[in-house]
Amino acid sequence: MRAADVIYYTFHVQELRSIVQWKIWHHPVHERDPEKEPVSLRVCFDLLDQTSRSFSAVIQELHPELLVPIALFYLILRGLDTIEDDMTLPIEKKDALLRDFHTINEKEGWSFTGSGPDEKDRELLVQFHYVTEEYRKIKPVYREFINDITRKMGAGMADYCNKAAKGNAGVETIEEYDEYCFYVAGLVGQGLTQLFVESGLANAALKDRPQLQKSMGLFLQKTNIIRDVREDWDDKRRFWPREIWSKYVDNFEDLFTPANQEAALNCSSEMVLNSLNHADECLFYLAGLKEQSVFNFAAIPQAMAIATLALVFRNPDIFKKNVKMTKGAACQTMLDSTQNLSKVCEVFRKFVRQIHKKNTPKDPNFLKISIACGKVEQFIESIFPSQNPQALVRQEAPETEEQKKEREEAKWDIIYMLMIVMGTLFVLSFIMIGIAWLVGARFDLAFSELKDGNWRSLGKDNARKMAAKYDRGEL
Amino acid sequence: MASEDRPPLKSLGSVLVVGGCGFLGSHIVRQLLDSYSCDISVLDLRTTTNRYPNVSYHEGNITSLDSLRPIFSAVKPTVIIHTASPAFTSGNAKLHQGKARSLFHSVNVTGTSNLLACASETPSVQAFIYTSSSSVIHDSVSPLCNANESYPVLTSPFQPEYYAETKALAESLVLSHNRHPSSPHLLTASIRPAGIFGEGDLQLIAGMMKALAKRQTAFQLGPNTNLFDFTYIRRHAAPCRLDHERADGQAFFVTNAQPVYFWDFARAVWAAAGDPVSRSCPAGIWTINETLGLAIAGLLEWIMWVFTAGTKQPSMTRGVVKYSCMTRYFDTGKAKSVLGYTPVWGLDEGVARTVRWWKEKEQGKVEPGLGEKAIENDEGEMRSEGEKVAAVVVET
Repeated sequence: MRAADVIYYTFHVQELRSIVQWKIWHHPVHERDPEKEPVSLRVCFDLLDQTSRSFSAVIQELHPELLVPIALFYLILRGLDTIEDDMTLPIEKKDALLRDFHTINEKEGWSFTGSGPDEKDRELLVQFHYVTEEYRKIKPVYREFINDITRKMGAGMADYCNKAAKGNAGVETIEEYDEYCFYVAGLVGQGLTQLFVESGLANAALKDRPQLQKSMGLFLQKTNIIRDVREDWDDKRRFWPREIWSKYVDNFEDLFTPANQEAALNCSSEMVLNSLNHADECLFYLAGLKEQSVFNFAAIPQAMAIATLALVFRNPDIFKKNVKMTKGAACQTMLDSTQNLSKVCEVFRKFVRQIHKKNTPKDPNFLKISIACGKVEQFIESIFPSQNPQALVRQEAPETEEQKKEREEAKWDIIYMLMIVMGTLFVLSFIMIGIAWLVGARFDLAFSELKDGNWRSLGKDNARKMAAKYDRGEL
Repeated sequence: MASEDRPPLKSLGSVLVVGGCGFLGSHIVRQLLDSYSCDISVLDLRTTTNRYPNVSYHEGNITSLDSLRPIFSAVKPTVIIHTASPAFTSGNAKLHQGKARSLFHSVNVTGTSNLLACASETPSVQAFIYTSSSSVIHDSVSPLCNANESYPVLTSPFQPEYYAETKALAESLVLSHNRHPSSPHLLTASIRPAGIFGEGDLQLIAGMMKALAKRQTAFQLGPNTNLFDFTYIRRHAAPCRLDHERADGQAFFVTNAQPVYFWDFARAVWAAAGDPVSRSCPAGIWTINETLGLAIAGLLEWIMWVFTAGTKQPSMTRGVVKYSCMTRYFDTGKAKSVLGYTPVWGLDEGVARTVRWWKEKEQGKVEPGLGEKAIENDEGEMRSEGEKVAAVVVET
């Protein structure tokens, strides 16, 4: 832990708590047992750890039925990805490798040492024969699914590489952007759905919803493309479609000039909007997953994606550096997304509202973003209604005529009561004063003394003297 | 988009738009002209505004049966779209009692009942579409979260707004006339729109423009997490079908199906009108929470009451505070699946177009719509209020 982290977590104790909680309280739904695994499989899991720490952890918690197929599926696609990314390979060779990759799966002992020396997943391809060895042991039906996706994705990547080799490096239209994301991510959604449904761990209806499967992949891919804009551009790659950025700047590199910050932010907003429009379908998809480990496996990346989307929304830093979620925020999101659908919906609502809060009318897509946020909230409301339709009539009814009359009566009762009390007091006082007067009380003297300011009692003798003073003539 | 899969112009026969010179009614007339082949007639109290060529205009008063019969026998309508209604005024004002109450009742209930009587007697009539209101299920206090048609219609004592109560009464009259044994030729349905705005609107947009003129745009009541439904009035060629088997005798919520946060909508309108305060949001916005807002509004109402002897109300009343902090949006799934309803214009396009229209009106370039007349004249000028259903295809 760096000093900066110590300071950060001192002021963000909540996030620190999330990290601790995740470490202590998160128990894998299923645990693999390395003791019983053959060497080749153990190597595969080591390779998985090397290629992706975050994915590796969730994959290794998967239900035993899908543990190995999905781990291998991931490694195979990662192998494909490594070839696609490798800038040292000549295009003819790359094209052939990508298009034939699905047959490689079936070949015994295939490995590839031709990757460039800087390729970070070079080792995976060098040891790929372990992957193919394990691959041939899994159920034929799973192999069929994995092979089908590998073939399609390889072909899609090859097309894209050929285009890039001819100098058309960037994505032009939004349609092309969707297509690219479909090849690299949407297809994975399809393949995984087939595996989930075939194993009986997901609702079979998901198989007939290609749009939902596609959205699962596109939401993740598009969000990463927004976050990585700077890194990709430094690697001379551009995935943001011209159709979007050309509305804001003339040249793509202008996005990175501080003078164009406002235009760049508006451009990134449209990219976020484009991604956010998939969010409700991702929740819809997650509703079809029955088994906890499969749910976690699918929900964690989605929750991370919505959190990332909120982080990059109108964030000028994305054009300067690689923006990353803090570890605490990531742990909190993972904690919240590994329970149930309702919790994941809460996560989505939370981050959608963060986006809404940062949204500003100076953004040309202001209202569209508000609509996209509303769409997610409305979808959540539709699967978890917070209101009972009968609620409006079950409330306490407004006053009826009868109740009104009663209330009026009660009011007058009080008034009458007060009148009676006051009246009684008045009558009694009158009687008492009257009796006093009859027996000779001198109110006239009392009044004039009070007028002179003599408020104190005079005593018997003084009173007699005073009376004499006033009534002298009579004596 | 819409133009590509536009269906061939379908003949509707003779269509009578009641209240067709009003805000909503005139938009329906235009869409009928644009997208359908039919003879269009308009029945309104006065037919001097919002006129279109090739439409026959008839002046008549729906509160009088005698004034309607000659029009029905002349027009021989096959479809009746009833959009006439007095402008909504809220319940707490003094003016609401007495005159306004009887106006609501006579136009909404008696008027609708008269139209239904004429429709039953006229054998040519096949369909009767009523423009109800989303407020028929709302007590004007509770939130409505994704409310659908299963929500009960509120009447006294649960309905505090007399206006909404008369709309509900009229709606139940309309729906009870569906395939009634005495007139089996007549099919009926009701549309319940929410928060209509658009060119010609002088209620929703006017209120927001008034706040802008008074420089009240820097204030926000509540946290602005409340979703709200609005409906842009214009639609192009997206026909709603009144299918014999499924749609008749039923009510449908119709909105833009794009609920947004209440203050976002207001700010979008203000920003489109060029308000620099709204454009700089979220910076420079004062947020007043609901409780404080209610307290201030209560105080203002009381002061106003004392000084004007109860004849006037401040612009910020407790009702306004509650309304702007309220969640109020609907599930339009039924209209989508049964009527094939799809909003064609997005809310953002609607706001842009409406504000442009408003600015032109302010500069005197276009004639004000009928709505203005309705506000000036509380003698019972008919004003359409309602939905954006373009047209109704009767499948026979």
